[in-house]
Amino acid sequence: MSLHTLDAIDAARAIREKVLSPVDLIEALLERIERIDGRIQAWALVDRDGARRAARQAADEAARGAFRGPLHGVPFGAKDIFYSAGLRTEAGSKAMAGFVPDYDATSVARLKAAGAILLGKLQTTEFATTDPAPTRNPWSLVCTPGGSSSGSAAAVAARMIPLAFGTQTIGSNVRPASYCGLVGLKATFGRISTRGVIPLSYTQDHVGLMARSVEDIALGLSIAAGHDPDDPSSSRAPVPDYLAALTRRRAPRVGLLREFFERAASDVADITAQAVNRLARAGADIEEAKMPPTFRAVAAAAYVITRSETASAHAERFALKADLYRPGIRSSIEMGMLIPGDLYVRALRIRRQFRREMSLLLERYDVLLTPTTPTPAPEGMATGDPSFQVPWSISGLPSITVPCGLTTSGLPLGIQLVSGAYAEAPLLSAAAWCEDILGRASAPSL
Amino acid sequence: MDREGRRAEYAAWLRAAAERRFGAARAQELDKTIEDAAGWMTEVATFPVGTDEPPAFYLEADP
Repeated sequence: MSLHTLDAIDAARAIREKVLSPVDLIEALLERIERIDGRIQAWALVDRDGARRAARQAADEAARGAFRGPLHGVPFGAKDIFYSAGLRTEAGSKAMAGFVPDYDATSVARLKAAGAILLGKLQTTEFATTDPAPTRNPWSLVCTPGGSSSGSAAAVAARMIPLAFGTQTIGSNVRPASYCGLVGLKATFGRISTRGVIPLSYTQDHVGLMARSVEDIALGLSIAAGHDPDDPSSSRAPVPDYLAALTRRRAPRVGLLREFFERAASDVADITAQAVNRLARAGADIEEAKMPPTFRAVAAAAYVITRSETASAHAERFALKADLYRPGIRSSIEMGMLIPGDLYVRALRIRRQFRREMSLLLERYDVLLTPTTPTPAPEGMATGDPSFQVPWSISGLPSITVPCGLTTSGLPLGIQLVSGAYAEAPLLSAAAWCEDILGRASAPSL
Repeated sequence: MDREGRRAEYAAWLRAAAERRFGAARAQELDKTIEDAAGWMTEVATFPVGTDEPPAFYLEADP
C-alpha cells in the first residue's frame, strides 16, 4: 500500500507498532503534494521544513517508546482561517496578506498535543464565504470541490492528507466533504472550540472535520472536542469516547426527511433513495419524518444572523481595507451593516424556536436522513448550494455526511445524518453502521 | 401591510441607507443584493415567533 493512502487511524497504529516512521509518512505526502497539487490547488501553504522537523522528532520519540497521544506522528491540515503559530494565515484574502499569528487555534493545538503534525494550511474561499478559492475537485477538475472549506475537502480526497479541519457557518464543511466523496462532520455548536478561528458569524461558526472514514472522524473529534475557557461559546459537556461508541454500532431508527428528496435533482434523489433501500434491507428502522413549521423561516433567519454578525466581525478591518475585499464578502458585510437590530434579535428568536421544535422531532429517532446536497458538485468556480446544511448550522445540531454512491458522470454523493445536541456518539455509531452497509468511497483517479 | 408592501418598504429603506452610508454609486451596485435582503428581512419580520421565545445567545443549556 502507498503510504499516502493510509487513513489517520491506520497510520497512527503503524507508527505505534514501529512499522512506519513518521518521517517516511511525511515524505510520502510531500511527494504526493508535489506531484498533484499543481492541478488541485488545495494548499495555501505547505510547511515542508516544519513538518519534516516535527516528523523527525516524532520518530525519535517513537523509537524511545514515548508517544504524545493517539495521533503521534500523523499529519493533518487546517483550513487557512485557523490560527497557526508562526505560519501565515491569510483566509484567502488580500486583506490578511502576510498575517502570522503567534498562537495556534485551540483545535490545532489539541491535535498537536495528541502528537499530530500540522503539514500546512488549506485553501478557503475568502473569509469562508462565497468568493471562491482556486481549488478543483479531485473527482473532476472542471467541478468545484465545494466551499468554503475547499482545500480541506480536495486535499483529503486526493490523498494528500488523511485528516483536515474545515469550518461550517452555513454549509461549508459537510457539503464539500460530500462533493469530494468524504466523511465530514459538523459537531454540535460549542462542542469544538472556535478560539483562534477567524470568525464569520459568532453564533453559527462550527469547527468541522473531514476524513475518509467515520473511524478517523471519531478519533479526530475525541481529541478536538472539549471545553475551552478561552471560548465563550465552548460547552462544558463531558466528551465521551467516540471511538468506543463505534463498537456499539447497530441498525438505527431513521427519520427520513422526504421534503429534501423532493428538492434534490432527480439523479441525487434516485441514488440516495437506493442507498436508503439498502439501509432498510440491512435492518434500519426507517419512517418518514416531517420538518417542523419554523423550518420555513430558517434560511431567512440564517441570512439575517450571518450578515449581521459578519459585519460586526469584520468592522475594524473593513473600515481600513474595504477595497481589498472581493465582491461577495464585501456586499455581505455592507448588507450586514444595514440590517436593523430588532430583526437580528427576531432571527435569533426564530432560531431558538426552530431548535426547540427539532429537539422534539429528534426524540423519536436516532438520526434524521437527507441527501447531503441537492446536486453533485457543480461545474465552475461557484461552490454550490448549501441549503441542505442550513437547518443544522442555524440550530447548532450535529450532522455528518457519509458517501453513498457516484452519479453516472462519476461524481460522489452522500447521505446526511442529523442527531440531537451533543449526541455525536450515537450519530457516529449510526454513520459507521451506514458506512458498513454502503461501503466506503473509492479514490478519484489522478 | 401585506407581505409585498413590507418587502418593498424594506427595499426602499435599505436603498436609502446604502446611499447614505456607501454613496449612490455603490448603492446602485448593491441593488440585487438589496432586493434579496429585503426578501429575507420580510420573512423574518412576518414569521410567527412565540412571544415568550427569547433569543439564544451562544450556548443553550448543556446536557
